[in-house]
Amino acid sequence: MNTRSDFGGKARRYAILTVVSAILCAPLVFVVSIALSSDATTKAMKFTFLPGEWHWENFIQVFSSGLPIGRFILNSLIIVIPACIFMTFSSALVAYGFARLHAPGKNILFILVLSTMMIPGQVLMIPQFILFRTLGWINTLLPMIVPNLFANAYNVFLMRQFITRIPTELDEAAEIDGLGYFRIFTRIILPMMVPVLAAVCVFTFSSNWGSFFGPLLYINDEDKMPLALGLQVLSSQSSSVQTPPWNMIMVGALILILPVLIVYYFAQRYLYESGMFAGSAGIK
Amino acid sequence: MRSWKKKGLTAILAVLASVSMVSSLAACGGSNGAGKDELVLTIWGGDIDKRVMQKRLSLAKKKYPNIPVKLQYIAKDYDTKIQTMFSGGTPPDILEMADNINAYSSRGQLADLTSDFPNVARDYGKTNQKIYTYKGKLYGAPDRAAPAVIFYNKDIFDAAGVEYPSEKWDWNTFLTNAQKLVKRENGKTTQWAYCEGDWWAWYMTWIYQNGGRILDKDGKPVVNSPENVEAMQFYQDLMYKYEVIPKPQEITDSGADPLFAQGKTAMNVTGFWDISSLKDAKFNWGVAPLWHGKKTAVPMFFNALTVSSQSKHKDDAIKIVKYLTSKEGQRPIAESGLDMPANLAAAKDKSFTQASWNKNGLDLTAFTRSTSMTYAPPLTPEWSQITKAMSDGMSQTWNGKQDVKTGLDKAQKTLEQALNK
Amino acid sequence: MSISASIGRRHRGSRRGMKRSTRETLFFYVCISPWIIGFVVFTAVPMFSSLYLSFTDWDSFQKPNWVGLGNYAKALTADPLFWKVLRNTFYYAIVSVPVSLLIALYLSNLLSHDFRGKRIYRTIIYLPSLVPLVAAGLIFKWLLKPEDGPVNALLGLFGIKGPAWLLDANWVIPAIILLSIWQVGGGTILLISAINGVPKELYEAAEIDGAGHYRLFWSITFPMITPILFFNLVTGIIGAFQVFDQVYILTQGGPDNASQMMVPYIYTSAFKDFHMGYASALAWILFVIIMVISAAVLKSSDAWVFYESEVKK
Repeated sequence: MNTRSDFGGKARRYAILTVVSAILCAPLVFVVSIALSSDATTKAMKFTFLPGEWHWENFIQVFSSGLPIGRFILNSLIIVIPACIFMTFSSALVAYGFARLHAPGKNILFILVLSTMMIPGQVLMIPQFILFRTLGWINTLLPMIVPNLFANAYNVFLMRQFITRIPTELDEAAEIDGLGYFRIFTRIILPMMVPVLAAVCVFTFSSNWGSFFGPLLYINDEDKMPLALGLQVLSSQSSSVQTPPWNMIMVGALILILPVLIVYYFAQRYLYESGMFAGSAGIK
Repeated sequence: MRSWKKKGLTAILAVLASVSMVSSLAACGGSNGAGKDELVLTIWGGDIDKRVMQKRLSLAKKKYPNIPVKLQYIAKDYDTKIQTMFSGGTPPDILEMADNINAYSSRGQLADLTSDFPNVARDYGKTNQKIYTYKGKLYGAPDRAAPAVIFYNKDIFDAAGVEYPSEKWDWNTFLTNAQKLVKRENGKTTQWAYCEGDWWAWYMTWIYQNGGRILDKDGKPVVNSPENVEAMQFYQDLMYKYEVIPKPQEITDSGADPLFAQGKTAMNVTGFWDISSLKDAKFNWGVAPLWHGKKTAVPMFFNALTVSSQSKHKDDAIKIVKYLTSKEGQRPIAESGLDMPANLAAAKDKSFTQASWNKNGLDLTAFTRSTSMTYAPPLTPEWSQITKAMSDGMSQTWNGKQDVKTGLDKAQKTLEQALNK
Repeated sequence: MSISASIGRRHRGSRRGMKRSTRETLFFYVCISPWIIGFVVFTAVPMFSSLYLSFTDWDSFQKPNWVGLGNYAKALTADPLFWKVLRNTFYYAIVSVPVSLLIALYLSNLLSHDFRGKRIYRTIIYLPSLVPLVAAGLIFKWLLKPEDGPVNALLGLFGIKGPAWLLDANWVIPAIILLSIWQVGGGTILLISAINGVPKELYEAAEIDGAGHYRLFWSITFPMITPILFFNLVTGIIGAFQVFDQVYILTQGGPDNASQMMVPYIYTSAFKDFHMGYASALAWILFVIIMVISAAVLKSSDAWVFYESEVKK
């Protein structure tokens, strides 16, 4: 059509996005700069915004520290992979129930679901610890694995909202064709949920991959630690008592970010799948 | 579709089955990480803390081969983890503790060590005895105890023609000399005499040196006493009147230790740890005992080994603690240059005073001479509320937004409320 | 129309003997069983324990003593900090939630189009929310340095003398808000995804009618993404009232509690002062506040959230 204004629009979009990206990335440049600083620079906190020195050995130190980094990564994967699979699908199933089915007590239950997000976790820490101790799960990965297999409120709510955007005509047609609820879910709804499944998968991956506080409370042995906690150990170890070893903290941060970024980059294909209702009838 | 119910159920059963599978996989090797009769000892700190404690435990093992001890290093949020372990009924047997020891001892969580350390004042000094005693009973075995000293940049002192600092300085000498040590360029300070921040070891020292107190003998807060107002006014003037130390807004992203390491301050009052931080410093530096005010008062950085009262192996744990705090058990602390041993015999020993790591001939007697000048801060069970009340009350004063009296009055009011349960 | 359809469906009779509504109910409970199991096993007990503890003086070590409503009464009448902390929390939430939402909406609209390099830009948007807050904390302290920090240097270019940010009681909360806005990526991702899910035919039809960009956005995109906006709003409110890390890392609540918020205050009470009972009471007061506000937002949703299909009850 009107290529002229199209070009102008595009140029403007690129301009705005580049400015926004620069603002968002500026702090990250500083993260990289600190990660590449020497110990002496770190102790004096004489950092520069742009990297002024290139101590790549800080990254190598992670692998030559004597800490079982391979084991840390494996432990993280043991936590994250089941979480991604089961959290995503169990949440989808629960969300389907709340979005599509009629049942007495549903509204109350949904409020209960939402309410679990409203109590600050800080006061649940000790009761939860006691619960896991009673189960004999202290110093195992189970407190990080098992609760993540069951749908949580955030994901159920998110997926329910997505499902409500799918027209009911499709499931009604399927029902007339003789499909039961479970098949409607797996054959009609689930395929349409691909973007939100991807979103939940990415969020679950990133939050579990990066979390160290739960592991800190529940894990005592080094060889049972996930990566986020292991890197914490690494950076604390390299500290003199008072100034935090910022260079190693930033190295740890970058190492933690990278896998999530890769997962997200490739998940975009599913996350931003377009026209999910294309061809569906009856859109007003 | 006839089997929709079956399928739904199968799916859920499958989920549960895999859950239990993963559980059993991940659970192998469970329990709380220690072997059955293994004692657990928790510490915080860095790699060197870990290595030194390991060394000491291997010495202990020679003496007590039948008491196995497992070292558990807690990388972060030590206090929260320890509290959770206690609340959850899985406390360590032996634990390193510092400021909040009496939050635990007053709640019956720590074993009484009074009879195990009958000569604590003689062996570890009076300050250590005071710090770890609560209601007449001793709950901590003094482990590490280095008084704060002045770290000073010799190059800056030489350039300014100022004599090196010492315990002979009083507040006047400090101020006069400090004014000579400051450098300004185009109205901006490029070099300060000294630096402090919001930390009890700094502000309480001015107060104690001026004869002031935070709590009186009966434990009542006396934060806004005339002595305290005078002390804090002197400190405030160093920032805003004489401008010899940086204001908080000038150093938000670093602190006293980094500033000294950058060569931007002439003096820094800090702990033993800074020796190793400064080993790559590009200037000459030395250490000296702290100046005095109307009174002599030097803060001390301390940690103790304590035993959980819930421990199933209390007697064994106490044996280990006694060994670790003996002259022999403390030697690795001195030899490694980690800290000053709390045991006075160990601190006077050649392994500390003539330590092999001290290649620059640092005057380590600055530490040992200071021991008798140290004071015990009010380490009541409410210690964390005391320091918070001080920070809250004074922060706007230090930021130059409110006068000294108002800040201390605020802190006084907060403390009266917090301590008057 | 969706409502009448669903009503029609409910009366459509039964299959295989069992009444349709019974089967539906049964399957509903089968569906939500993963949540129920997780809730009953892992959440319910700790939640009710903390509710019980809020009526005690538990210090997290010794046997708790029942104090009835004492903790609640103390918070509401005798704790001079409680109201200040609550006011700070409201201030933070009231500003940060709408601002984050608007920024996320604006960015997602820009990023949802098909253009070269979209993957890279969409990655950059998400990047900040992945940075661990400990790391982000140091970076922001440095960015916001009062004397010679980059932010104030930038303001200086426009002749504005920047505030002392984290040290200034009036500017510390805006500084914390800045950090949360920097990490707006998660919400943006969901909105981009939602916009991409809007059927293309809708736009084509409207474009033939000659609708401009603004009209297309407000008459098609916006209503179609309201369910996700609503999600972002509700979870944003919940998250904002529970803000913790940002405060803990940047200011610890200072100066003089000018940036102290509910959850860091709860944490301090529980893990610094050992007042676990009181902390639990504070947590449940916060729970009620969040509940009431969420309920109000939920009520309002009938007026502005457009559901293609919503099955109520």
